[in-house]
Amino acid sequence: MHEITAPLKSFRIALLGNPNTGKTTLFNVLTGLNHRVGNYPGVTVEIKKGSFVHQSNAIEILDIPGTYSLAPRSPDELLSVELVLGLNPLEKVPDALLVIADASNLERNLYLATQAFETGLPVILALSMVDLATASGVKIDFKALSEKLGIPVIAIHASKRKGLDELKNAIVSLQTEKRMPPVPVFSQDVISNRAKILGLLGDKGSLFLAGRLLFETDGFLAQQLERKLSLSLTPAILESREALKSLGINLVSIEAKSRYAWIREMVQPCVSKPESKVTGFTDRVDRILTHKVFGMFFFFLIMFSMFTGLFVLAKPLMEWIGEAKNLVGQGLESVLPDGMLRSLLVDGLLEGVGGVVVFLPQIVILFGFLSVLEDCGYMARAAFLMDRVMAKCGLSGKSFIPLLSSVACAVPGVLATRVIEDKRDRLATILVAPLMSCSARLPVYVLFIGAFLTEGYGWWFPGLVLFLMYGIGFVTAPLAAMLFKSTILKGKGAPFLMELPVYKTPSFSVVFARIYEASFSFLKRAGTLIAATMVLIWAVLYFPYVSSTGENYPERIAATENKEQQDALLLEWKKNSYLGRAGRSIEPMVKPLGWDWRIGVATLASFPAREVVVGTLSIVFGLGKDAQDEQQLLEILQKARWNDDPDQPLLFNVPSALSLMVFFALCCQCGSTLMVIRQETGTWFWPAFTFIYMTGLAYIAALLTFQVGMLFL
Amino acid sequence: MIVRRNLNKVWNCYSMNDIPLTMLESGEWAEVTDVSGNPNIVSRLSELGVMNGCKLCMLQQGQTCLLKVGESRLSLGCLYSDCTIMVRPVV
Repeated sequence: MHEITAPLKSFRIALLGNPNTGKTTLFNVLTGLNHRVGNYPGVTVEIKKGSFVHQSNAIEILDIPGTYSLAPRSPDELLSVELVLGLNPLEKVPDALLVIADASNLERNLYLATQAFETGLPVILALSMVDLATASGVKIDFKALSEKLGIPVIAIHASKRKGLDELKNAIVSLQTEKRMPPVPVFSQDVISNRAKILGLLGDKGSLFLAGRLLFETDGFLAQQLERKLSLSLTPAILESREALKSLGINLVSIEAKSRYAWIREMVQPCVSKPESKVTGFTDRVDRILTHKVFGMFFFFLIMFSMFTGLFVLAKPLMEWIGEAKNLVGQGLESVLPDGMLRSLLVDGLLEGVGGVVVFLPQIVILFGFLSVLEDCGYMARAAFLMDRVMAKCGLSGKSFIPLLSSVACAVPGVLATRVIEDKRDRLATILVAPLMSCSARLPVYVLFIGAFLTEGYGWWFPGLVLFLMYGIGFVTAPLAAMLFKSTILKGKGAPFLMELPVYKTPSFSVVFARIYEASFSFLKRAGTLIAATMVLIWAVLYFPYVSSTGENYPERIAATENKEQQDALLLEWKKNSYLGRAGRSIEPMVKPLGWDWRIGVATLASFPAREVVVGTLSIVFGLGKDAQDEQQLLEILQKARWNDDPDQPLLFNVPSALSLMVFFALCCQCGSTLMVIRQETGTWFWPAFTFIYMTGLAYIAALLTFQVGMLFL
Repeated sequence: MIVRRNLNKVWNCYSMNDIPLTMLESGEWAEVTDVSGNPNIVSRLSELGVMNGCKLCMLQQGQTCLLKVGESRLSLGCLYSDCTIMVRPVV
């Protein structure tokens, strides 16, 4: 251990840690909402930056994605190493590293810390999950460990804000007193060959980087660094590797062996733990939840409970929002004179946006369920169970987590594919992720199940139908993946290798943050994209309000006392509007699906976002209805007739409602998803491909649903 | 037949007590005697603690298996074509 004295300056610290160590919780707690996401050209990795002030010192934190080691095997992982080592021209080198390690699995977590020790930067070690370690009989002498490692070692519990002041004090004191960590010991042969490579790297090098070049036998890192540092390293590296091989040293395993041996030597005097056994809480629960038969049973039970709960719990809340919307509508109608402005505000904005906002409770409950499942450790078990199924489709269990995330929203689902190392597997997962039913489909399902598949059935039936609608995605996505992997993306699947975290009580702050983020994003979409679309839909349905013979529809409707005449005029007005004309031109295409032109245009209009269809249906079916006729959209749809003609049969029956739901289950009506596919694949080809194949699939499936359904009606 | 012959060829390189990880029964403990194959997977496994001399327990056997290595629970799937893990069962 040696000390360096440095002058006071603004302080940057990079946060490193294994996945599931509570790194995100610590970052959120330290920085609050004061963070942003950094963008780096050429890579898809998301690096968060945040800051906080402690004792008048401004501290900036760089949150590096969770990793088991600093051995880069892809451009994304290389970026993390570059940021840690200050090799990225867009970022300054950090002043120190903060490594967060899981105290209940200390030796494994210290592997990453040993790599951090070799970077030449001061390191602070924060130990999380100390309570779990204590519960499993692990005792850690923090003071002795700190003395042994020569760095500050601090026990923290981020969500309970324990140990944070001590951690902040340690970060601040690093500015004046930098205690350098010891360097893990390798054999003399390794040390001398690593020193040779370090000499070639000059002032851009570090022991860590030299070690990486020596140990990384696939040449990826050497190629990248030769390009970035304009150095010719390969012959010297090959020579050093050959020298070690001739001494019988296995380059693939020597690094891990040496590091773990060193870790054991450091940890043994400071940590006492019982003999590793398989009787802990997690192991006992895993016997059931990861079992081939019982595990699958519980997986389906959890999914079914989630979707039934979604339906049952959200109902009263949705009714309150619906009533509030009606009250606002009545209030606006009482203060605004009849005319275009009132129609725009009440029939356009309030009906359209309110029709979507009413589904906020479902979003809150869905994201609440998913974040609880993720934070308690169940998601990884689901991936384990599904690996067998995914392997049959040419993918691995790692693809299942992005697919399950897509149940909330395909955008984070597509982003979550970054954990898949194999390029073909990743692309196949990106292409099928939008097939999973996302929260934007939920309003469509809830509306049509509520209208046509609830009355006259048992209390459990709507939940079952909703579960089956989600099941369409769960079945179709792997099948589509299998098709892609056996045709356009042919290749051997990547092996599944994943750590299953211990079960823990979900952190309230993490669950709340996810629900808040999702609700905020949903309301923001409703207030911006959806509101703008609604105004547009209202306008193309309102104009022209003068017929070809010069008759003013609103004036004629106001002047007519007869209700039937009013309805006939309204129908004529809608049909002659720009939207009506467009709708009637596409009606021959959508009629075989059991839809009329109004459903057709609502579907077309929902291209920017699926939930728009509900708002559009509210406007298309509800425009012009006066306050006394105020009905919920649900009732309006139940009573709707073909072309709004009272002599025609009812527009919707069970097959046509199912046909619409199936279409929305499989179509790709989401601008944001297509944009994120473009961002992740770097080309417009794959979003275009996704849109075309999903729309085709949705049309065929909806056609079959309606036509087969009619045979049984 | 071909599979058996190749398997025998692999087995002949190891001690008679060594068996492939796939043959370990649920609940059985073993010591890893050799990890070989794709260098990327071998080094990733060693980073996670699966290397010569480490003790592990098979928690769930199958095409995708669940192992306890130290305090970690690792799931491995479809590894067998890319990587061979030989183990020696211990009592």
